[in-house]
Amino acid sequence: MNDTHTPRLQGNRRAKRSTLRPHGTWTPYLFLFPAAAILGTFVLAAMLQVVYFSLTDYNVFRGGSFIGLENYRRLMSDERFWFCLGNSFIYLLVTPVLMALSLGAAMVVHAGLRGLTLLRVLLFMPVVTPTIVAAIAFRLLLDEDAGLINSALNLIGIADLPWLTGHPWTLISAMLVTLWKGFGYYMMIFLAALMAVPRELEEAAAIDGAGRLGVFLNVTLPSLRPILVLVAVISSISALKVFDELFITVKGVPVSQQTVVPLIYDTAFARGEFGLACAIGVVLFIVVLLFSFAQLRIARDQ
Amino acid sequence: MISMSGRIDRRKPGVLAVLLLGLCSLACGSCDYHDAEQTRLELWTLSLSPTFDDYMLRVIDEFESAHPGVEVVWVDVPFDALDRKLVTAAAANRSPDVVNFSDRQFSRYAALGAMHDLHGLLPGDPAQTYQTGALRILDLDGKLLALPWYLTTQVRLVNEEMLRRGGLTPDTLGQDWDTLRQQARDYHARTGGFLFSLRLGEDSILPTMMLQSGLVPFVERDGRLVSQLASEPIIAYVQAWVDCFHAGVLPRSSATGGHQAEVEGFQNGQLAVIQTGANMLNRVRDANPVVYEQTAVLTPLSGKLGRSHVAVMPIGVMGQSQHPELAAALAWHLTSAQNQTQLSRRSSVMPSTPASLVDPYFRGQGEDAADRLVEARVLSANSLEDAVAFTPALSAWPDMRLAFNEGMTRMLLNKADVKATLMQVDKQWNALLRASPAATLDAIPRPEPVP
Repeated sequence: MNDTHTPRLQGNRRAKRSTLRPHGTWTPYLFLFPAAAILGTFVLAAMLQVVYFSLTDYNVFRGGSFIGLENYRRLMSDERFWFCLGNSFIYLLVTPVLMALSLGAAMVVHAGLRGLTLLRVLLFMPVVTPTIVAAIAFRLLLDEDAGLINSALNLIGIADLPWLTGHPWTLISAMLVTLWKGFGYYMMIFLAALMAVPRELEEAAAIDGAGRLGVFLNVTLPSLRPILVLVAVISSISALKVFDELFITVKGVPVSQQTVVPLIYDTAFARGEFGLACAIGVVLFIVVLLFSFAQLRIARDQ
Repeated sequence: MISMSGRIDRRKPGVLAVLLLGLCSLACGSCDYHDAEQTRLELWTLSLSPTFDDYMLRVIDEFESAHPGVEVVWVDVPFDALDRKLVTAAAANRSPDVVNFSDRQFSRYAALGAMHDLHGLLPGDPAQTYQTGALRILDLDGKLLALPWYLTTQVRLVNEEMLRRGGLTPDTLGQDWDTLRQQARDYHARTGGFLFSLRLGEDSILPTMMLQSGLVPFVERDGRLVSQLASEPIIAYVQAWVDCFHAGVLPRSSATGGHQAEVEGFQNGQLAVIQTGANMLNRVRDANPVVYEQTAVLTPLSGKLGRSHVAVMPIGVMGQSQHPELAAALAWHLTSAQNQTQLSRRSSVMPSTPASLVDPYFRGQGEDAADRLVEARVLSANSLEDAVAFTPALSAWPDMRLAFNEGMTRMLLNKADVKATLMQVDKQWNALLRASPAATLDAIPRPEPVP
């Protein structure tokens, strides 16, 4: 069998190569070049530079000298880094909540009832609201002495909560901003995916006696799986890299109550330790990479 | 490049590349020509535009006229964006030549070695020109790293209506921190509100307040400065404020909020008293005219020494400057007595040049004495006589402050033991002092009490 198949495959390859020839061997590379040049200059070169700086005691004003893995050694023994990394993983809890909310909203909008166009616009509005505006608004709502949320809680007999100063409430406050800002965006992705689910499959399941929940669990959800994986990966990466929400909503709380990216900012801009900040950035990059690979692997295995 | 037949003409990209290279070289050539004709100085200021555009352009014109062939490029940077922009510019080796900092930013960049030593570069004697206290904090490890531009002395803004609700009047209100702390307890018990707020954790002003009260957290041993932060009087002092916070007498934002939170609290009618620069009165007037109408301006709070703190806004020459002498001349020109007087006339800041203070403007002559803005300005100018910049002139001070702030937030938010935490911070301070150039008690402001 192999003997008979191999020549045909080779023949096919030859045929494909020959179809490219009229356009020139370099043509695809020429089209790739602008994007590759931009990515290479502004992403890859910058990444390599960060890796190099992480091995130095770099200071933008005085330069730096090579110190090997000293920054990484300091990092491993720095309890602030471990607290922040732990908080980053706590922050990942926002992902399933965000997915559930946005999928739920997408299904409501997808139901096609009257007045839902307006609802869709309203649900999407937070996405186009600048994060700084959302974070300031939440900061005012969550103010511990004069905020609306604590006042409302007091009315139902719950004591004031330290939304802006106490751990883990500071993380929860920032998560609320992330949820409010993000779920409209993911709702639109889910809505597009729901519209692509074949109606006849759902109808067939219904004819076979499946209830609404059965249709959702056995037909709709499996059809959405690639999108669910995509949203899970994208929102997890965003959660691990969260900065704006924390920087504005819980400004002033100790950095050990925040996540890794605020720690990078604090290390570089408040302490001037740019080499150490680069080392934290490299570790975060590896963590995000491993986490994304693991998510994709699990999704593929399932 | 792509012909009508859809095939790529291999010669055309080459022609285009040659044309682009030619254009680039022409552009660079014109840059070189331009540079040969003019020396370019870049000046960065903090949030002066658009209010002070006319003033700045006039001062720059004067400098350019006095220095033919020099072009000053003025860039005004928002207060919060300076760190990001300056670090980015420095990383690209394109730092501006002259930069205006806040006192806190100055300490950080001085510690990073970002500034040029101005000794020997200035056209005059700084000691004869600037207020001694303001100049002293810019002289670190024997290097003069900046010139004092304008100063912001503080005043007390009090909401008389809120005071009345708590049974207080401007006359009965405490003039020092300790009295005010006690009054805040009574006020909170009576009204449930807050008499005042204080930056205890983030950007803590407790080190300044200690020095204002004559509590010096340092001693000198073997010619070197050593921390004495965990001494009994300082533990008691910090404990009193931490207890006050835990008793709910101060707003929760005093643990994490900055000065901005205090001003917002006052203009929203949540705080009865704030200690701030006179220029903030304009902001209160614009944000909440009702509160403005209820506001009285009083002398600044002080400690046991009776001296208020003055914040210095330095202007320095960056180490990456290619023209340090010209840059120093520009900084000198901007901070001259004449120019500072003109700047103060357009704002509520105070000049760092004693020669400016003889101007009748600072005594409010010929103006409505009942106008709060005039009153605030006169009070600021008067307090300048006894005010001191209570900032230690130590290159390690920015890191020491960070360690102190972290310790304070642990005490306030995690209820960490005050004595144990101060002992930890004391160790950090000593490690930082050992790692920096030797300093003596001369670096610490220790003025005599006001007679």
